[in-house]
This record gives sequence, structure tokens and C-alpha cells, in this order.
Amino acid sequence: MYIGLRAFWLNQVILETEMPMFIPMRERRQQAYKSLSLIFVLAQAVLILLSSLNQKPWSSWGRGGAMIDAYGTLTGTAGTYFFFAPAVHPQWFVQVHAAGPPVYDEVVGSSALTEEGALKMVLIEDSFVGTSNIPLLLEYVSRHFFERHPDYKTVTITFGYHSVPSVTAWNNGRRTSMTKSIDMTFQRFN
Amino acid sequence: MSLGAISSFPAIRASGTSAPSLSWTFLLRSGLGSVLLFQALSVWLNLREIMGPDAIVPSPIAELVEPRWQPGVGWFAPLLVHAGLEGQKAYIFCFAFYTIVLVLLILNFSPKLTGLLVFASHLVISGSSYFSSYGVDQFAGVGLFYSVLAPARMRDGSNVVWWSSLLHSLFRFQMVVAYVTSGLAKSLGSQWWNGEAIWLALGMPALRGMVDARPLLASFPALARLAGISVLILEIGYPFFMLPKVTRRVWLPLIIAMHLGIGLFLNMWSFALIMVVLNICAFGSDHAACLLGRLSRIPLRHFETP
Repeated sequence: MYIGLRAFWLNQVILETEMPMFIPMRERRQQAYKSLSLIFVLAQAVLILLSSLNQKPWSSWGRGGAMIDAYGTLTGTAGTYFFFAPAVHPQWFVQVHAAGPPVYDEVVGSSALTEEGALKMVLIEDSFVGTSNIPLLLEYVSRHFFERHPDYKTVTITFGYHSVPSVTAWNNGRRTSMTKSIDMTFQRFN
Repeated sequence: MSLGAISSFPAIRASGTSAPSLSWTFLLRSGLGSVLLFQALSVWLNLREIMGPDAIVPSPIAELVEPRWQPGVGWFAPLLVHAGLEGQKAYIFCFAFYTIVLVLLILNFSPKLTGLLVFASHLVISGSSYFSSYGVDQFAGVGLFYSVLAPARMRDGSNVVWWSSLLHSLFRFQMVVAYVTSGLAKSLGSQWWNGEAIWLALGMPALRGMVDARPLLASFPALARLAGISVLILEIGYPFFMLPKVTRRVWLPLIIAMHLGIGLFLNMWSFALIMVVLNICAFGSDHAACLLGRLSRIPLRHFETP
């Protein structure tokens, strides 16, 4: 019984002496948390604003600047601004033609792909045009074709763009047409 | 998941109060999860063409183009080999993992953890399919980053409410910046003023939507000009009309209509739906949560904030 009472008394003493210290500690922790969150959010806002203005003073800060750049890109803080602007480019196409039998003729992305797949294919073509690597893209398409169709020995890959007529031309009966730009022939060696 | 189940989440119940609620975080996670799952399922059928060593542009090449710090499936390839996942199998495994965590995110299963896993796996997949990434992937990345940071549940103490409000404001700020910069950039060229951008976009075979608007635009060319200028007004006017509560009631539906138009006429449904989700989460989460509550016919109870 004594032990029980003693324990109760000790517990009360501890509670009474620690309580006043405990509450401010918790409040202090909350204050620190709030301050840190505010700093983080303000830093994010500055990063968003500077990136949107294409001002990146950190690019001259060496490794630290590279880390900020990486953080901004991975988290989407540094982009994507100026999206879908300002110009709408023509849509490219890649056509595969292999002499048969049977004759193989297909515009990449026009049939066997889902809507999203076809859209992604257009974006792949767009990326290669943007970096002026069209022959490399055609080579990739030929390699892909030979892997899928081992019976063919030769394939011709044509690259071009869809020309959208003006409104006046449309009203005169012209429709979107395919304009060829480059074609390359590839041969299987093994 | 039924609407009844949705409205039983504390975040949704909180929407009936004037106090800051967590409805935006719940809608962000479940909305982004649903749209990204829709996109992932569309990509699954063509995964072999788009991602992996057998893709048209092999992923190991695409990964080389990315900066060193951008994670890709190639980073984990040596580890996956030990599990018998070589070549294309490694890419299929990563994409399957991404799809599964998306389902968990929609179900609100351990939201903080699944949010982090979806964000990380989305980053890895984007890094391996660099050439086919577009606006939807970039904006999804932005949304997923906020879903990682956002609190998941109301707990004792005011920190959760404080952090949620602060983060929500930052999210709104980023949306405002994204729209204004996009609108200003468009206004610098002549294509959006004379309607050419709308006409060209509608004329592209890959962007041919459910509704072919070209005959109508050819008969009334002023409509294309009007649509182009409307886009500029909507985007540049975004901060002025979206931030005040009174004008937001008009502007938010207009912005949503613009994005649904992109889906309907240009067939870019993933992009359109991601933008709708982000806009609703940024500026209309409480209304959307109320609507979900009403649809489920379960009376909203006020959430007592601590």
C-alpha cells in the first residue's frame, strides 16, 4: 500500500513539475514547424516565379545551383510554363513501306495504337524533328519493323508532314494532305 | 468505390464548414489517380512500342538524353535482373507497379505512402519515356508532388489545418503562374489572335476528336478567331477572375469547359481531365466535395476542426 501511495505521490510530483515545461515545449515545436513550413512555401513560390520568368540565378552557383535545378525539374516547380504556346506546328508522319509479297504499307500510329499511344507516337516524332534527328528516327522505325517482321529484307521509311489547308482552300474542296519530305531505304543484313 | 463510401471520408465531411478543409487533398489524390489510371490503361496496350528496349525509340537511349539525376527504369535494372526481370520485363514490372499504386491511391489506402510511391514511379516512367512525355505528364508530376506534401487526415493540433491551407495557397499560386505565362506566350504570336492555331490543331489527324468542328469553322471563320481570343482571355484573366470568390463561380466552369473542349475536339482526354482535376482541386474543391456528398444522398456533417 505504501509503495502504491508513494508511486502515486511521485507521479503527481513529476506531473506537476513537468507539465509547465511540457506545454511550452510542444508549443515551441509547433511554432518551429510553422516557421519552417512558411520558409519552405515561400522558397517554393520564389522558385516558381523565377522559373516562370526564365530567370535562374542559381545556374551560376555550381553544384548547389545544379541541385536546385534538379529539384525544380523533378518536382515540377520549375515548369511547365509557356505550355502549348505560342505556335502550333504541322503534324509529322512516318510511313513504312516494304515490297512484298505481301506488300506492307502503314503510317506509324495510324492503326495498331490506342488514341493515347498514337498521341505519344506523334510526340516522339515531334521530339526528333525538334532536335533535327529525323534520319535517326527513321533508322529506329526500320529496326523496330525488322524485329516484328523477320520475313522482309528491305523497307522504305518515309518522313513527311500533314499539310492542313487554309479555310479558303478547305471551302474550295482541298483537304488535309500528306507531303513527303525524306525517305530512306534500309536493308536487313542478318 | 461507391459515392457513399467517398462521402464517408473525413475530408469530404469537412467541406460543409467554413473552416479550411482537406477536401482538396482527397480530391487531388483520387482525381489524379483516376485520370492517370485511365491514361496508364490506354498506354498498356502499346507499352511495347512506347517503352522498353524493344520500343520504337529504345528506352535506354531515351534515358541517355535525360539529365543524370532524372531517375529511369535503367537505374533499377541491375537490381531487377536478380529478380529475373531482364530487358522488357523490367519495364513491364515498373509499369505494373505504377498501375497498382494508382489503384491504391484512388482507394485512399495509406494516402501519404501511396502518394509518394505514385510520384516516384511516375517520375521513373517519365524518365524512361522521355520522347513521348507531354503536358499531361508534366502537370501530373506537379499534382503528384502536392499530393505527397499534402496532409492526409485531420489530427489533433492546428498544424494540419495550417499546413493544408499554406500548401493549398502555394498550389493556387502555381496554377495561376502556369495559366498566365501560357496565355501571355500565346498572345505574343499571331496564331491565337487570327484563329489559325485552332484551325491547325483541329486539322491534325492525331488530334481529331469525337466532334469534327472543321466544317462549322470553315463556314464561320470568325468562330475560330473567337475561340482563339477566348482562350487568351481565359488564361490571362485567370488570376483576376479566379482568385476573387465572386468571379470564380463563372471562371472555373469556363476553364473546365475549355479543357473539356480540348478533350472533345482534340481528343486529348488525359490532358483535359488532368487540368480539370487540378483546377477543381485548386479552386473548387469544397463545391465538388459538396456535390459528391449530395449525389451520395448522405447528409453532410460538420467536421469539428480542433
